[in-house]
Amino acid sequence: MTQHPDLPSPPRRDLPPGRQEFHKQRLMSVIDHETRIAPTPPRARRQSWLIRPVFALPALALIVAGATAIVAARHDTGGGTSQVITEPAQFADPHAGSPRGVARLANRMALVAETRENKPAPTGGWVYIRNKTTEFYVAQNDDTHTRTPTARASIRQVWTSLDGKKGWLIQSGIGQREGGETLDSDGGATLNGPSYQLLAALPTDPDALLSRIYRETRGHGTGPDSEAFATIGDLLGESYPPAKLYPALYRAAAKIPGVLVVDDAVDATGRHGVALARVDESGLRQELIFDKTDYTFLGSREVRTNDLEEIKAGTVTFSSAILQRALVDRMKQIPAA
Amino acid sequence: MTTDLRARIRAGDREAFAELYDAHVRAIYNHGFRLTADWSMAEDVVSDTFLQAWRLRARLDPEAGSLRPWLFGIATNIARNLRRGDRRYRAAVLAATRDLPIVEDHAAVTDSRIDDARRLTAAMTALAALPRADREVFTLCVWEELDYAAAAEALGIPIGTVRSRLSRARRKIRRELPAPDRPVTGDSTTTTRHTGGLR
Repeated sequence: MTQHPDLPSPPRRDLPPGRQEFHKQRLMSVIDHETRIAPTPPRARRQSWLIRPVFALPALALIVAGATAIVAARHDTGGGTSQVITEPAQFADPHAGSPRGVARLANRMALVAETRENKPAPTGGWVYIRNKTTEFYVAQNDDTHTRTPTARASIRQVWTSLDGKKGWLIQSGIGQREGGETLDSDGGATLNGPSYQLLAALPTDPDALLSRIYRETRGHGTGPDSEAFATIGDLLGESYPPAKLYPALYRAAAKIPGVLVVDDAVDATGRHGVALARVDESGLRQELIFDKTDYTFLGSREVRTNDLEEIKAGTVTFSSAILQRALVDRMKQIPAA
Repeated sequence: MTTDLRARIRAGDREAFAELYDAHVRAIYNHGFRLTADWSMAEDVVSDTFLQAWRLRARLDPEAGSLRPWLFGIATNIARNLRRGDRRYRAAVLAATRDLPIVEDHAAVTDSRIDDARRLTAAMTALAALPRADREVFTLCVWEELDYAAAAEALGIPIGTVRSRLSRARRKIRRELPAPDRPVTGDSTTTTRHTGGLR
């Protein structure tokens, strides 16, 4: 701090009472467990920890991929106006999904998508997306000492300039300041936060698209295939892909090893659809959900396929639903529904 | 002594991991917060960092010095994977900075402290607008006070890259900061001072 008197440091905190010891004990029990199973130290030099089989413990699953925070005990700092909107937690079949029919489904989706007209470049300067998300957590009541599986819901309205450098977010349920907040950034768009212009410039050949995805997400996530699949979800999600990109996205998704078809999946607003899905290294099944007849992208969902401490197999840890996607002329302009 | 601990960590010595945990848990927790802007996620970072350190122990370089850069490297990577996409991070920063330093409910908060609070909020908001790579370098070098070589080791990038990212980050953040000696005016920050004691 003396080195940088001009820049204040954030205050330092200790972990909440008991949590420091809790995580230490867990670490120690993992060490004890694995030492018992594998008395010789692993020769990890050439081996990625990600690829190692999860023979020992669900503890590896703690390294949770993606956006979902698994929060065992939320410690509210108190006094805030968090206005949290909660819903009952959702559950799904942890064993759903089959590798059969993936290529057939993706092909059908792509064929339908190819019949959509390719509109000329948009004239409005802003992409508008309204969506709903839910995140699972375990609500702890310190008075009654009960713990309840719960979902925290949020409606997000996002405006993004076509180049991705300007943006605005209005989100409910997170105690956001009145009127929303800026998303301006000169950091530039990425495949995991794509601008319209980035999407419009992506290759429409599925193989070229996929190899670009692998190249640009190398080292992220819990494994290359998981990250590629999750990235397809990011490209389809809070974004505005041009019509010509959809067939490539569908075909590329089907080429990722381990992809499954889930016949019946439910988005954050309760709409049913068919999903392309994949179970990642942590045992989380990521589902991209599409309308069963016209294959419009409805939203996504993440389902635990194994128990992770008190989070049981079948728990939906995250879900989203796209409610509206439009081009508008001005930031903060709300299009007609 | 550090070399000794390093050797024991590599050998998978249980007690060495207990020592490692005790020595660094607080720093990793706070580092996790700075990268995710979320104390719950920071706790996930703590938990995952030490588990992964255990799993990666055989890959630890037997020669180098302090174990901090190694741990911070693991923590940074985990924080990166926990929060996909900058948009969510930025939303969390804004949520987090609202109740940041004024949370300490000392009734007699000095003006300079309030000033720091405001400047910190500005710094975190500016930090949120940076590309992730710049943000990581900034938090490691400025807030964790790692030197360039240690930050380079943590992030697996050349020292020159650390230097250029850091200077870019600091330039941008400075631009956003109110001057340190600016007198505090009657804004919402001052109001919070008076109500602070009521919490």
